Amino acid sequence: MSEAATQNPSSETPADEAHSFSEYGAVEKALQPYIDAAKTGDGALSRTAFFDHAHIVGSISGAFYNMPADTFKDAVSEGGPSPEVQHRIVWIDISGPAAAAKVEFINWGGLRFTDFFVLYKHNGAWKISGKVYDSHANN
Amino acid sequence: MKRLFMAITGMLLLAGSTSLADQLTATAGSASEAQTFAEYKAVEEALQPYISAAKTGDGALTRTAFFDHAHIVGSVNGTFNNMDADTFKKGISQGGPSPEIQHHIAWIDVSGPAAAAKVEFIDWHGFRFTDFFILYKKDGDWMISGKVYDSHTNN
Repeated sequence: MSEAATQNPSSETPADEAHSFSEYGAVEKALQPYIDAAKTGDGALSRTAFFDHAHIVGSISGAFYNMPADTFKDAVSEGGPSPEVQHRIVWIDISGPAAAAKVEFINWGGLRFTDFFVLYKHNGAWKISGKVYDSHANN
Repeated sequence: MKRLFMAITGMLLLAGSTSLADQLTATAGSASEAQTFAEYKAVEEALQPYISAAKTGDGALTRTAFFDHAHIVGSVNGTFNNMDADTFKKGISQGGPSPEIQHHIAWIDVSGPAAAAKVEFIDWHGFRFTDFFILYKKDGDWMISGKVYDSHTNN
């Protein structure tokens, strides 16, 4: 028995290792419709990333917005394309079927956003269960 | 031109005479720095009713931590549970006290009025849970806008 195995015993199999690694990619893919829709203004696409119950909460220019997923869908469509938008997925944290993520945006309709998400994997598919955001200089 | 040069030189000398202690005092006195530091504690306090209620089984107390729209999503023993805040309140009360429970706030991340947090639990009625939260600060108060959880060997 190697020294490392003695010090930190683990019951993880190679399959467990492959699975836990691949989940980060799966969460990234779950966020992708939302990220793509930020650029294209495709509200219907953005909507596919969210559970029906999800709320999107934040403020812009002093107004508090608490939108259900369907209202957010309309808002993304009405906002239209934002070809200059750039994003960075800053972190993803996963525990079993639950996850959280932080995504940074700039030039989304000229605005700077920081988004926090909670996601859940139901029937094999990750979806966004809720989002809160910071609009920085435009809160 | 000469007077301007002398004025700038004088300002530079003045700046140069500022002690490191003065500079540190000025920096520490920044209101935004004090606020961004304090927000972590404010988020901890916002989570506390939920954490306290895990031990006492006080559903009404846990309810105060959540926005009306918040959903609590996860699974226990193969059953997917998607609860609104009022249903979760009842679930906590029906579960009753869990005096052996322990928790750790693993991390908090804050950006302006938005935040996320991860809290680990063990011995919550014998269960191990990992919770992810999103929170938002409205009218000066942080509240939980959503929660997802992992029940580990009991998913």
